[in-house]
Amino acid sequence: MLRAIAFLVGLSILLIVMYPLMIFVYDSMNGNFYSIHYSISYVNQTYIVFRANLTYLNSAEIHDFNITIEILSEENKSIARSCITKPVLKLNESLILELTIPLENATKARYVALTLKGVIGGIYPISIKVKEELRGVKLWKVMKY
Amino acid sequence: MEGNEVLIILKKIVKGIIHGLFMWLIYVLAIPFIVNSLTTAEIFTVPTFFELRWFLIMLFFIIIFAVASALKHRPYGILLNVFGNLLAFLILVKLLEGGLVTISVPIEEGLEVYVFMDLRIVLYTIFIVITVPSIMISVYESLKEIDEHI
Repeated sequence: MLRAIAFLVGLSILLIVMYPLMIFVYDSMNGNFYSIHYSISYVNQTYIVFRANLTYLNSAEIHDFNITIEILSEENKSIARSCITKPVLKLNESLILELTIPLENATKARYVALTLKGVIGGIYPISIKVKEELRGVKLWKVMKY
Repeated sequence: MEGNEVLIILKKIVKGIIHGLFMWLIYVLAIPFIVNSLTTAEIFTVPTFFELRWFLIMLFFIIIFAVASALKHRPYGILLNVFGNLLAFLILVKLLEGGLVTISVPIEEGLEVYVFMDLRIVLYTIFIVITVPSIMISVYESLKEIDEHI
């Protein structure tokens, strides 16, 4: 009897503690973590403005959320970098990051690197690094203006 | 030794074997399997029954709990029980890489994703709400039975 009670109490506490993590993992498994769209919102003769629009799609809240976006060259050298912090990020909230890049550097851009940091449900620290080729945005096309 | 006594000891050993199998099943097979099936990336190396390493761990668990059960009314029985419970927890810590998990998720060509998660709080919780109570209860029950025997 004592064992059964201890087991049930222990299991309940474990489930309460793991609840945010389970929600986060379940939503992420269904492809609902975040969606990000890149665009060039403004172009003039010397600069371009690179814009990243991130929408959070997960039901688990992320506390102390920090996102850093960096444009990298072929040799992984940093061309431009922007960072934003939010105390709590909830479902369907959006963040916009803008990077002003001199046109001469924009031609060297090859990759976009994202670093997302936060604490799932205020309990589980998480850090995600994503690096992808700038295929969708094609900064070099800007040179044709 | 009377036949009845032998039967009682055999019963205790069988009970210990079942306890060992249960601990092995929960800590070495079930938890890694559940975590892996929840994620796309392989956090744990899910052991198969035929791997010698995991087969030996299973045997070790069975032997510890069988001997602990046979020596139930003696101090060594209590110590072995505590040792078995701590060992199960340590195996979980080893499987979870100390709670600091790094996963590389292959999504598509030209896209690299690295996820780092701090799951130490899960280990602390398991230790506080599962391991410690099971140790305390087994010690309490053994001491109570020793007391009754005396």
